[in-house]
Amino acid sequence: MSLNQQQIFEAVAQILTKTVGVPRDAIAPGKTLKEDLEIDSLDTVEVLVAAEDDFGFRIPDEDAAAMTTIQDIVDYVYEHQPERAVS
Amino acid sequence: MGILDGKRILVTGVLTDASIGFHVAKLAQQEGATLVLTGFGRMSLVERIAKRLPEAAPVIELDVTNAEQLDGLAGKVAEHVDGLDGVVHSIGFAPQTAMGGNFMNTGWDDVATAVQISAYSLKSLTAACLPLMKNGGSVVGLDFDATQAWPVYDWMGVAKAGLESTARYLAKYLGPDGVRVNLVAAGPLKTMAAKSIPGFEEFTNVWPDKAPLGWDVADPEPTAKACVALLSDWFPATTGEIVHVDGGVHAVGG
Ligand SMILES: NC(=O)c1ccc[n+]([C@@H]2O[C@H](COP(=O)([O-])OP(=O)(O)OC[C@H]3O[C@@H](n4cnc5c(N)ncnc54)[C@H](O)[C@@H]3O)[C@@H](O)[C@H]2O)c1
Repeated sequence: MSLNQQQIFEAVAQILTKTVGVPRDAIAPGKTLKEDLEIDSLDTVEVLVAAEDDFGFRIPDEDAAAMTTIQDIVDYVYEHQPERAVS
Repeated sequence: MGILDGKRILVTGVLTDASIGFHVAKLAQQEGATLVLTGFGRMSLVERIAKRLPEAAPVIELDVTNAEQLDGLAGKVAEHVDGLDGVVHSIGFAPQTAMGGNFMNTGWDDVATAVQISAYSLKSLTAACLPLMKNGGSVVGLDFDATQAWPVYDWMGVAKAGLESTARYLAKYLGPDGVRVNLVAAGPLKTMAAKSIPGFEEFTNVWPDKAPLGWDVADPEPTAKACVALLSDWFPATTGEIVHVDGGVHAVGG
């Protein structure tokens, strides 16, 4: 079974809070990483590396470069997530 | 059986899994080395990346401009290994104002930062590790050919010229202790450091065509192989040398 968009959003929000300290109430799907959340390129790398570890697949550089909003990450994970066993 | 069996090696400069340091570390482990890593700034990221190595390796925090951390380094490394046979310097930094075509306007403070972190640190790091290299050893640093002026590389190029000279002086002063010091001058590779150079595409676009052997900016393995070879016992009489791993660009004109 795979995760739905809402579950992925919550997981991404948790990663953003944990790895780069973005306050939870600042996080919404449409927010841009760079302008709205003021996340620099290394912060973004850290977030994506954590996402790779948590979701269990690799995000190639070219794909990462195309992500500007939190929703972009959620969509990407949704489309690329490996099938998961029901837990 | 690997060419680094039994060797204890300190690898700096692992930041992402694109880092040259990461690929040197990976290959060194595959060749039998026991590793200790150092990380700078983004320790949680470095710790995550370290877990992606074939075997997890301990990570020590090291800012090469921090005298206290340098002084404490040998002690911290000794908590994991009983000595060192090799050290990899894979560290470079220049402020944005020092690169990208701003050469004529860069102030001394920014140049000083570039030189301290990218050149002088080869000496600082090596000196900090010397107490652990009782039986000699191999120091390998990552270079970018500094014999010519490149587009956009600017003061980083000056720092690399300093790195090359620093390696030769270290070779001279540490040879009697059996410590070899060599550099690998790599062609352009897509890493965080490279991406932070404004106009870096000027290298990545032309290099593959200029190189007699061709060049893949996404493949750090040839560079890692040269580093591992220099760390091994297969270059016992080589020091103060620069090995070019650039597809041959340094050797041809045009
Ligand atoms: N990528 C290339 O095209 C290329 C080509 C030739 C040589 N090099 C050299 O390879 C080395 C590694 O760079 P990379 O391309 O793997 O990029 P990278 O960004 O992955 O690595 C650079 C490293 O330098 C470290 N660093 C910066 N400031 C530091 C400080 N004060 N103390 C300790 N560490 C510090 C960073 O944490 C990072 O790990 C550098 O010396 C670079 O100049 C790179």
